[in-house]
Amino acid sequence: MATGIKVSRTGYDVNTASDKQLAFSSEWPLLPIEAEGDITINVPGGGAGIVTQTLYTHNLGYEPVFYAHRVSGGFCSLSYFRCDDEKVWFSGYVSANINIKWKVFRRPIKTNYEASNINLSDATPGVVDDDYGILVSLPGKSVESTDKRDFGIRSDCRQLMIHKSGYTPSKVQGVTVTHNLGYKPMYFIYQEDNSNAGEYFFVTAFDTMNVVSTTSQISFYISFPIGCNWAYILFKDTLTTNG
Amino acid sequence: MGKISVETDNVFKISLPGYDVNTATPEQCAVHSGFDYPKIEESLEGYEEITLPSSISPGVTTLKTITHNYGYVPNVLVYIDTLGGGLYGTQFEILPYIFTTPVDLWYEYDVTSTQLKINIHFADIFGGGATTYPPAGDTVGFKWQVWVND
Repeated sequence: MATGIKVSRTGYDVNTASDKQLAFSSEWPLLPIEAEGDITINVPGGGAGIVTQTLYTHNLGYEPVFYAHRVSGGFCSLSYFRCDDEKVWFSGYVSANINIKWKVFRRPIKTNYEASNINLSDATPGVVDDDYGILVSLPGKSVESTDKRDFGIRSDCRQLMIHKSGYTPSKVQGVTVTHNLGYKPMYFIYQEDNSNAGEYFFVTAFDTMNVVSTTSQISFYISFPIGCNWAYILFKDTLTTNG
Repeated sequence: MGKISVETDNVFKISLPGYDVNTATPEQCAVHSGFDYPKIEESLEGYEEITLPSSISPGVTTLKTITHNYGYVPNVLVYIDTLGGGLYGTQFEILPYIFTTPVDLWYEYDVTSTQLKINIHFADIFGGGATTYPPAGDTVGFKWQVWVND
């Protein structure tokens, strides 16, 4: 008999809820946060120019999944953020100070995984019963806290559940991933730097790279350089609706 | 801030299928009480199609404002759905999304302790003033998630 736990989001019967109507399930991994922070990347003393700055030294021994992004200030491409098996850093052109948030997750970028036991049939929302649910407070925090940041898991929230992840073992110009989710999923895509093996950067569509998605597949393609290594994560979260 | 995980915490652990919970590493757990996870409240997740102005002025134009009132600057995740076909056939992309080369027009967002604002930024590097060229007048979709996590 299979053992585990699954918790539906508020208003859904856990026995009939589809995958994306769950808060989480022990069938599938989430993204555990290893480290996080905020930082301002300042314009160089001599004026606008390239800045390279370490965000965090993780020493995990593998290239971790990470998400870093600008929240205010000057222009900042996602491709300015990089990682290797020791650290995560910023490297990009800075013309005005940039305020950044970053998170490093406890998951190797290079992980081949595909979720099983897929249920794509959405249930109809039912009666909301707040008497049931699950709260997992963070170490040193009370489960009675009213600050939702004090919890690792809350069944009244959606957690980012991973549907599929993978990477290319050799350089290719494009990748098509079949997911068969019935909706366009949210995703992270990384590229390995062809000039610096083991360095991965967050990919955003720009000039030579594009992303095309359907309800069954997602494809990403680069026209230059001719081929690179890719890594990706697809989530059980829809792009076009609330899910 | 830096490391926030407590790997030795053993209050609550659920391993992924195929792994013994007693020996599973954090990477092999579905849930581990020593770790925080991205969390999103349903009311702070959404999708909306927006028609851009027919003339885009230099500077920042706010296309959508989401009020969260968390009292701190939260993490967010925003995607653009280009609907009619975007740059080199891209259909949707995580923001910031750069529309033209040289870089003079891009979609981005600003996050404060109360709001997420999704913007289009036109740098007008050629000094021609407001632009009526695409994506002016286009309809695009935005998917956003405002995380509980700061």
